[in-house]
Amino acid sequence: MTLTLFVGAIINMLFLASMYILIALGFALLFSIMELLHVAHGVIYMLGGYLCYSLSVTLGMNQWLSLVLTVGIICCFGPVLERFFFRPFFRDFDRTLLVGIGISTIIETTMALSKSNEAQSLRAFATGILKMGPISVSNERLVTFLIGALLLLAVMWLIHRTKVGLQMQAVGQDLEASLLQGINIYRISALACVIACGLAAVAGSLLGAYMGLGPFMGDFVFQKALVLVVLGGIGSIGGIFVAGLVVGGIDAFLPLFISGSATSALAIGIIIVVLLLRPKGFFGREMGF
Amino acid sequence: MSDAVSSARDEKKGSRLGPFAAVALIVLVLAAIPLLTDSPYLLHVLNLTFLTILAAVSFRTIIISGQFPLGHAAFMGIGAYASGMMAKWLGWSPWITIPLGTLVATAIGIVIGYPFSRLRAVYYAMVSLFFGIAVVQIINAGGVLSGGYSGLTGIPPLMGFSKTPYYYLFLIVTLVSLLVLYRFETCRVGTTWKAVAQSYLIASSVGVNEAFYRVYALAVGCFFAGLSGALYAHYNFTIGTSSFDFVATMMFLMYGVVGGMFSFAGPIVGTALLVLAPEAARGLKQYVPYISAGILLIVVYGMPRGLIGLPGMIKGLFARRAKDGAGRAYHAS
Amino acid sequence: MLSKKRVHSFRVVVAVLAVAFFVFGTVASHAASEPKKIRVGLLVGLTGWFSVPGNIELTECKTATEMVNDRGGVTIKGEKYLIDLVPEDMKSSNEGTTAAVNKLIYDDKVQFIIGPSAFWGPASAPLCEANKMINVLGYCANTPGELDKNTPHRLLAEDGTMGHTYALIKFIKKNHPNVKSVAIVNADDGAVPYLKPLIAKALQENGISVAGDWVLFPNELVDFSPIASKLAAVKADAIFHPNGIDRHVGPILKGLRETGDERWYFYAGVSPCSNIKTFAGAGARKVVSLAPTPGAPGNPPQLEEFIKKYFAKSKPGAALIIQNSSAAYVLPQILQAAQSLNADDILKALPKIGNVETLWGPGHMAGEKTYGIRNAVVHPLPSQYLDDKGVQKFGGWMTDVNVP
Repeated sequence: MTLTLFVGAIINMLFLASMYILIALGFALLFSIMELLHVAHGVIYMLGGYLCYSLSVTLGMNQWLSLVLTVGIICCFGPVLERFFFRPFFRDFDRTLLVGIGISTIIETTMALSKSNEAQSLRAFATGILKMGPISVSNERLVTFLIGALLLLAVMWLIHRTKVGLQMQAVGQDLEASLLQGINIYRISALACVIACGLAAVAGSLLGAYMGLGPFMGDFVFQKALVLVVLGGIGSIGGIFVAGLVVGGIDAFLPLFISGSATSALAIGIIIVVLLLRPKGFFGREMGF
Repeated sequence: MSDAVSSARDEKKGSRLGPFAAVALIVLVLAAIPLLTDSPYLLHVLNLTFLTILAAVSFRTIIISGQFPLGHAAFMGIGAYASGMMAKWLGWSPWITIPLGTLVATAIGIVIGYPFSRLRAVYYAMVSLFFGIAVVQIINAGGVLSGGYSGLTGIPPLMGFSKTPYYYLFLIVTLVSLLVLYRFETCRVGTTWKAVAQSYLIASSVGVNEAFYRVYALAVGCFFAGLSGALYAHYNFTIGTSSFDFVATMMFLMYGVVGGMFSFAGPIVGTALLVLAPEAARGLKQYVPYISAGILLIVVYGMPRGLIGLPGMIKGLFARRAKDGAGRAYHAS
Repeated sequence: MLSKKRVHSFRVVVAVLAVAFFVFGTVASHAASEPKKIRVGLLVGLTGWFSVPGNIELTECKTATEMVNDRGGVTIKGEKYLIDLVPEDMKSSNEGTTAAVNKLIYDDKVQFIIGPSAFWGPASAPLCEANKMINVLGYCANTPGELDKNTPHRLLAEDGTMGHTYALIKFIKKNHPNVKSVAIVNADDGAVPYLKPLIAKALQENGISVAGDWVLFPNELVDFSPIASKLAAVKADAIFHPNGIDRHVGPILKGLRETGDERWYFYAGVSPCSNIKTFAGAGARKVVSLAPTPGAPGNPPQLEEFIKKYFAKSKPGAALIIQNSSAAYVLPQILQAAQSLNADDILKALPKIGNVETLWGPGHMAGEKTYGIRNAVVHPLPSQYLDDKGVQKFGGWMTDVNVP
């Protein structure tokens, strides 16, 4: 393997890791920390992308301003999510799963029916290519990587250093004890949902610019986010970071050696073997059930 | 005293007779349908419904042992592809490859069952989910042998192209399989499964070999899923991995929850409704997904015990009202 | 009083009889002049991941059918017939296709079936062949069972992967004669093992060699940068992509340009350059596609009419596919040429049918060597490209496309 290919693969790995982490963060906040299974994460991600498109392309606003506005608007879904999709089915995973699927189906079908041309994309958030020797990265990927890294650090700081973060962890780890401590679980859950929606909106907008939009663009999100959360370990955001690098590394390097669909098969095979050897994931805690 | 005892015994016999009579009646009606209708399409839809019911009930069988097999549809796929590929490439008769395909699915279920059964519930669910994805990806990477992403075509039919022979075969197979699964659940094995599901510690403290029973449940579930898949392959003549992915497993969960997971008949009712309703609504074309999603949301939000629990739920509503009324009457006097 | 009642009732009887005769007369005369209908089933993806192109195809097929009916439909043995399109949703999947075929044959009782297009060709074969149902495909990717000598009732109304490949090779020879080797990239679907030898031969016959092995990616791939890196490392004069969609081509192109690879990207598919541009962003340049350009010189009048009629009933911005609609346009002509609605008669008449008019221009029946059966309609293909500044230009019509 040549140096160019190797360096290219390293860069792809870092970018893929940041991309996967970006889409997994909102999901991880809800599932990993608070044990709320948010299947509709992909749909919120998609809506975020389309909303940013409507603001920036259709209405012509500045794209960064659109991004901020999109986050603000999508965050408003948070309390709705908590009240109507999580609270009625607290800790009932079957129903939470199915409700998420039902809502996703309805929203995706509606979006698909409203589109006459599927090819839509946000303009790149940053243009130009950065060249350093054999390395050549588009500024778009750099910006996505940086924002992903920043958001990861922000969420880790939130979880481990702020009062609300600790409350979220408490609710996820031991519900009864949190109630006894006087934590308002509904308000904390709503806050977590708000943040998760905002994270999904950012991911949808950034990746909607990088990969283009589509009514079904959120379909892959649930699977990838779940892989990262399970591999990283329930209860650990730092685990998402390591898991992101691992999965990103597999996805960046395997195609160089193996062709075609076998790469997906092998990638998930590796993940299964890791989970069998270490079911808790890299840094996970024991699940409460 | 002896009168009370004998009348109690008679009552028990009578209560057992009721559901038995109902099932017999349904079976008679189903058996008569090909004679009453001239639409092969109705038979086709019912054929698919029978096979799906088989798979959905086998899904529930694993669930009652406390495991959450989110990769269950993959075993349908293993049965289907094993049987289809053997028949297509080796030229064996489908009557041989279908049992073989079923056994392959069961064998794989047992092989992965042991390492997987050591995991706690939610971890098992995740690994099962990923295993399901892995099976789909492996089949997609199968190149010429499995047809890859484009699917396996040219599968020899089991009994020609007319729908009626398949109808009776699937009706009988499904009926027998459901009876077997019901027997499993109500006899000692089933009770052990439920015990293992309830408490890991207590079951083993009574001397139950948890791992063995969990793998046992998985094997039984995979057997019937594989059978369903293998029959499907030789009925549909073409199969693709999109029928056996995570979405398909979610459909089994959907059928079970909508029907009522607590009851054996739950997945049967749920499957029948959620397969037949979109078919009947085909005229809505692009809007059909709203029907299934709508039914799902209504049941999940409104009926905690699913459709089978609906009569009980309604009775409960009236009982409560009666109780309140009685209380008010008491206070009034 | 009695006589008044009798007169009154007599008037009522006369009135009723008059109305009855009038109604009967109208109905009878209407029925006599009402043209008969031919029920043609359409397999199209109205739900599922391919639903946006699928819904576009539905409108396209309705447009094509309208054009055929406006010209008087089909006249067989002096009897006039209009086409009645019966769409069924195949749910963007293989099992959805077989379910829809079952519905069309056994419930809707159609006489012919159009579609599927894109990836799902093989799924409709077993049932259609078993029921001797003539099935006109909108696309063919050369997978076994899709179109071969074991499927005599299958027709192909669009050039398919091989036809598109031949057309693209002609484009390369005409406009890029210095390209002598190509790196091939494609999605890893089941057709690839069967396409490899055919495409290698077609390229070789025109003096172009295939560099290395095909770069394949799984269909559900999300990020194409590893594929772009791999492709950029293959030493060849240009990139060749036989079959795919804009969602694949755009990101690969973007990744390629990012690594500094400035080679021409020849794409033999139907997604227009405008869509590729959307997904390729800053990398959108030096790419060729075989999509039609409205109003371009050389566009046959039926194509212009089709485009005009399509956008009259649909929102702007749709990317035309013209696969299933090719079938909708070609089938009536085959029926007319065979002068029969009976499948056996039509198959007997097929060898005598040479030229067929398609939406893409004049076509002819061919495909004996490529498919094993002379059931494919081969037609010209247009080309369009983005130049080295990313400006879209019309690339001309490839009129001598031949699928042997």
